[in-house]
Amino acid sequence: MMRRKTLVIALAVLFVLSGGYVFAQKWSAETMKKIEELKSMAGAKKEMAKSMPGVTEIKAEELKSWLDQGKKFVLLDDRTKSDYEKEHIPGALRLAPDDLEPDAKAAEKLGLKKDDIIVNYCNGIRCWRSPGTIVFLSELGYKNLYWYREGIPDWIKKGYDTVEGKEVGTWKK
Amino acid sequence: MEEKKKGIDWSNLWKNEDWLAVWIGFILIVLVIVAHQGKLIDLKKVTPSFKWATDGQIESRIDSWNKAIDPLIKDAEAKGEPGTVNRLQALKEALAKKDRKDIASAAEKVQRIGGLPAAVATEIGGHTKAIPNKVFTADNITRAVKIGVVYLIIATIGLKLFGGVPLGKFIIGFPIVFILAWLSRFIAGNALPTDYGFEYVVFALIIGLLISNTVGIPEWLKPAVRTEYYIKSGLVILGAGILFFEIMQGGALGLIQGILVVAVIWYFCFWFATKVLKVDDDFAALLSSGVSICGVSAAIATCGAIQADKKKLSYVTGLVLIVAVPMMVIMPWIIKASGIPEIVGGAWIGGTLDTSGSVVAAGALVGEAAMKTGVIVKFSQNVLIGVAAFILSIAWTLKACKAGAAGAEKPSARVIWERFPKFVLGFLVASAVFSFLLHIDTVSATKSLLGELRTWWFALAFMSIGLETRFLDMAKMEGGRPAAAFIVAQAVNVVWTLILAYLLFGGIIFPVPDIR
Repeated sequence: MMRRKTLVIALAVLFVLSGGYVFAQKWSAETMKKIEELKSMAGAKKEMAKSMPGVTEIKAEELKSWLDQGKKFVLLDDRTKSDYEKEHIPGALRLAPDDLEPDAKAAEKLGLKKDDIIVNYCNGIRCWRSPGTIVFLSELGYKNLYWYREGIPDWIKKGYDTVEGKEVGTWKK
Repeated sequence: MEEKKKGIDWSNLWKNEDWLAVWIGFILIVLVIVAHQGKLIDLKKVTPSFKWATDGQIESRIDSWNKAIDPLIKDAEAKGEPGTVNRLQALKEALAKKDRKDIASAAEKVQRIGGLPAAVATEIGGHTKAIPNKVFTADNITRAVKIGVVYLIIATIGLKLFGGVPLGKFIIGFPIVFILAWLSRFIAGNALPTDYGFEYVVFALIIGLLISNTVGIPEWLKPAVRTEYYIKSGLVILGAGILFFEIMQGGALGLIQGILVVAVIWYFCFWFATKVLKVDDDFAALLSSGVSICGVSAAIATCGAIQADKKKLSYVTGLVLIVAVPMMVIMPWIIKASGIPEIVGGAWIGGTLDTSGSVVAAGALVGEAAMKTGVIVKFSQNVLIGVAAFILSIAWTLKACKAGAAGAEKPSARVIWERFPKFVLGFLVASAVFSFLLHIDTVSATKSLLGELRTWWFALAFMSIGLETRFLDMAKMEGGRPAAAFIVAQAVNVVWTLILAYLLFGGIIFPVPDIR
């Protein structure tokens, strides 16, 4: 009898703990729902939304002129490490939603300030990672978010400069 | 006690080859998922590569590659994409120098542009990177050996439960069959068969036939020649690759075309084969699935579902692959020559051509939109493999019951259940789990490894078919009638699908879909 009681208690404790683990998420349910939606769209190879509420769109030409002018802003490459190392826009730091999901502090660690102008890009219109990063960053309270939706394939087509390797690189006018 | 009276024999769950196949399939699927979730191994480093092209093969392709690149450069110039032009020109320069390393790296840079240039560059890069020696590196060989060992262990345990198989002989024989399967995949991995969509199944069959009909197979090898066992295990894993959400990719149009093509052509082929050419029902069902759903997987799944003679399966598989070759060349030519709109052409190709690979290749010859539409339509149609396997397995079970009951007696639910091919359930469960339960990340991360595992089972199965078939048996295969039925049905399929593609994707009933 005794043994069965302990077993029941142990199971109950385990149940509560596991529930606690599931609910102690780093991100709000709403944010995670958006992320899941983006992932499943990418999984089905669908085009991402044309725009995101509260986010400013930026085109290649404007981004290039910002770089040319030496404007103060943060350029974020939201792709995987291996994609980044193959080729990225000079000066772009890397921050993927895959890093943010398990670690909300990843943005802070990278040195992002809440009022920074942050331009996000990834692998183009079917890539979920730049809208994904934007979803995470907006929950964290970043306000000046920009989205270069067409991303690196468009940048390459335009014939603008890129760099290879781990180094962030600097933009040369 | 109750159960004993009803006579439910639980040992069926391991004494029956169908159930064993289900467990083997599930165990492998679970192993892959656990390995992925627990990050135990890098899934990308499990599958061996079989792709290879000789230097001569590369050189002989350079001309046609250049011809594929030139219109892309013109197109990019017209669209005002200097970056695309530069990279394509760099690729042409690398091709002119004939250095495989340079070509591969230039091709990779083009791949990042996406779209049609990427498709062409993937083809070029894939071939140039595939240096023959890479297949024989220690790492690559070890990968295949590991898969072989896992299969040997699992298959041996299964047979031990099954009973009645000399396990010692199986353990000695299995590696031989596995090595032969490896050889068939190696041959199929060469650039030439790859170009024509000649898959490993054909080579497995040929090698098997050659061995059994020349030197013959020794007695001790026979326990390892187990077509049914291998094919069913592979089919359960195939279920994990049949994803219901893929049917939604093409939207409603892809779905409508898929259903209309498969249903109409399936019935036409079946009717024509059985009534006009007097081909038997099993054979006709295999032919119908091969033509309508288009593909080796569809034929294999049908064969399992209706428990048909495996020799018929090999006949149909060969037909499917051979008939696809002229179609791959002729269809893009017709589309271009007669000015069929790209999207309509793509839907046409996707609805009639065999493997996804050949759809991409033929679609790319027409244009980017054609390639994308083709792949979408093909995917939607593939999902119907599951539906067809399910319906056919029930229909054939009922048919067998009726024939067995011989007269007025209605077959009881139990008899139907007993005759039902159980592995179809495993196939459907795997498909449902991967379509609805698992996270999309897990599905896409495990997709290629599961495909690899399925391929090994099928390679083993087709090798076994070859090893247990006499040339004489092949000659007795109802002569040319099934082939005639197939070709007629395929011709009707080509016309019917073109009409549907025009109606659905040509802006006649619905607006032209926005595929770029």
